[in-house]
Amino acid sequence: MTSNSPTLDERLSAYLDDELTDTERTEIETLLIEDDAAGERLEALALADSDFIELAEEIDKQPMSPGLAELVARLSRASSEPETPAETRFQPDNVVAFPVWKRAMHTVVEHRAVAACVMLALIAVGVAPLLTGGNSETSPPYSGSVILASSDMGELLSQQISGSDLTTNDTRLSPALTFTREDGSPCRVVTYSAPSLEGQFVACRQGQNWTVEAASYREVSEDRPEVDFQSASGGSFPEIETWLDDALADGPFGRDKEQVLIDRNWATDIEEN
Amino acid sequence: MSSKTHIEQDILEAVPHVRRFAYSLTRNQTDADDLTQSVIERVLEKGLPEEADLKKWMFRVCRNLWIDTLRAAKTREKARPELQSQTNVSQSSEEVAGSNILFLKTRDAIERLPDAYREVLTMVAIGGSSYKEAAEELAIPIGTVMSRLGRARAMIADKVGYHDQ
Repeated sequence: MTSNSPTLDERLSAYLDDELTDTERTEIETLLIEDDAAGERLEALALADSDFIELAEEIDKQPMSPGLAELVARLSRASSEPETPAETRFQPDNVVAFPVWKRAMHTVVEHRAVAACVMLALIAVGVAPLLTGGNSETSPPYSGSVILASSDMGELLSQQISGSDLTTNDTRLSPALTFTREDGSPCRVVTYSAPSLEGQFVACRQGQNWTVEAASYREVSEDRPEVDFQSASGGSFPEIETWLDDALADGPFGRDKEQVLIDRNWATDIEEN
Repeated sequence: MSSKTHIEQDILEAVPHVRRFAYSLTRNQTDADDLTQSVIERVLEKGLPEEADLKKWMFRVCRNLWIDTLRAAKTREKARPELQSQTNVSQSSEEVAGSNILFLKTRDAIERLPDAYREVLTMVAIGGSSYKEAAEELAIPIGTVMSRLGRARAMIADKVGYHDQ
């Protein structure tokens, strides 16, 4: 074989990428049928590719660095103002105070001591890519996370009335109540319950997405009944209650108004009833 | 959807993908997040060419910024201590489970890929580029793309030894 001829590894690799001509593909498939070693080599290269991708996805399990998280939160906030030209909505050099983000950060700092054991639990269970649309979203979201409308969790927040739930991988998520805060944005308190962790978080609508403004979790004791999914919904998270005391502009919405909001895609300029 | 009007939303959608792309290039979370942040800021500041696919454009900006960083030798200097510390952790524990050993071998094999190989593997496997797109982007022949990909995968496979487990 000359130096210009592709090696078997290169051809198998290109086969994995579907970059061969029909003739070349047929040749490789014939080889794979006739030669077990070629099949094993293809499998090894495929595993290498899979591991490479899997390793890149590891970063999904890590919370974003503060700088990136803040930028994403600001971006999400800017995306909620569609009537303003994009170039004036968000200026990367425009470092101004963002009360919502500051407040979320404040919440994080304020409850850091409480959350210390929770963070360990978060690391233990892994934090799913909340920004990823389409994947299952069963890991707990943390303050500052953005939940895309296209994700499972985003769909739950955007489309389901309080009391309904999403259950995936032994994890139940259930909107518990809905309200608006002082700036008029709708927010939802969601109960999170998994075999090893339970808690609540508050997500507020920004544009089409939701930003987690506060979150509190605790490890589940081993003697908790297995099917006790509702144990976290009883208002037993003082951090969330404190946050709600400060944030609630009015009382929680009734079921009818909640449904109207969902039907109107969370446009809040509806009459009070 | 108008990319102008909804650019923030589109960027938000692309962020996880760019972050993985950046992590795949840098193998370091802090550097990856810094790189992702720089990409977002660059796109917001400079915009993107008409007809350009935002995600692919962000990948391109990401790769260019990474190369700039490589040239400045900052990424290498930052990444080495983390790699070494990870390796030390793995070697200091003699009772690591078999699956962890395999994982660490895989990580090590990927860490040791030459930058040129990791770059093209990232573009194709993470960024979804075709060989033609990668070749144009890197200004190299398609045959070289094919060769680097084959070698990159082979290097990982041989170092991990999938069929030796």
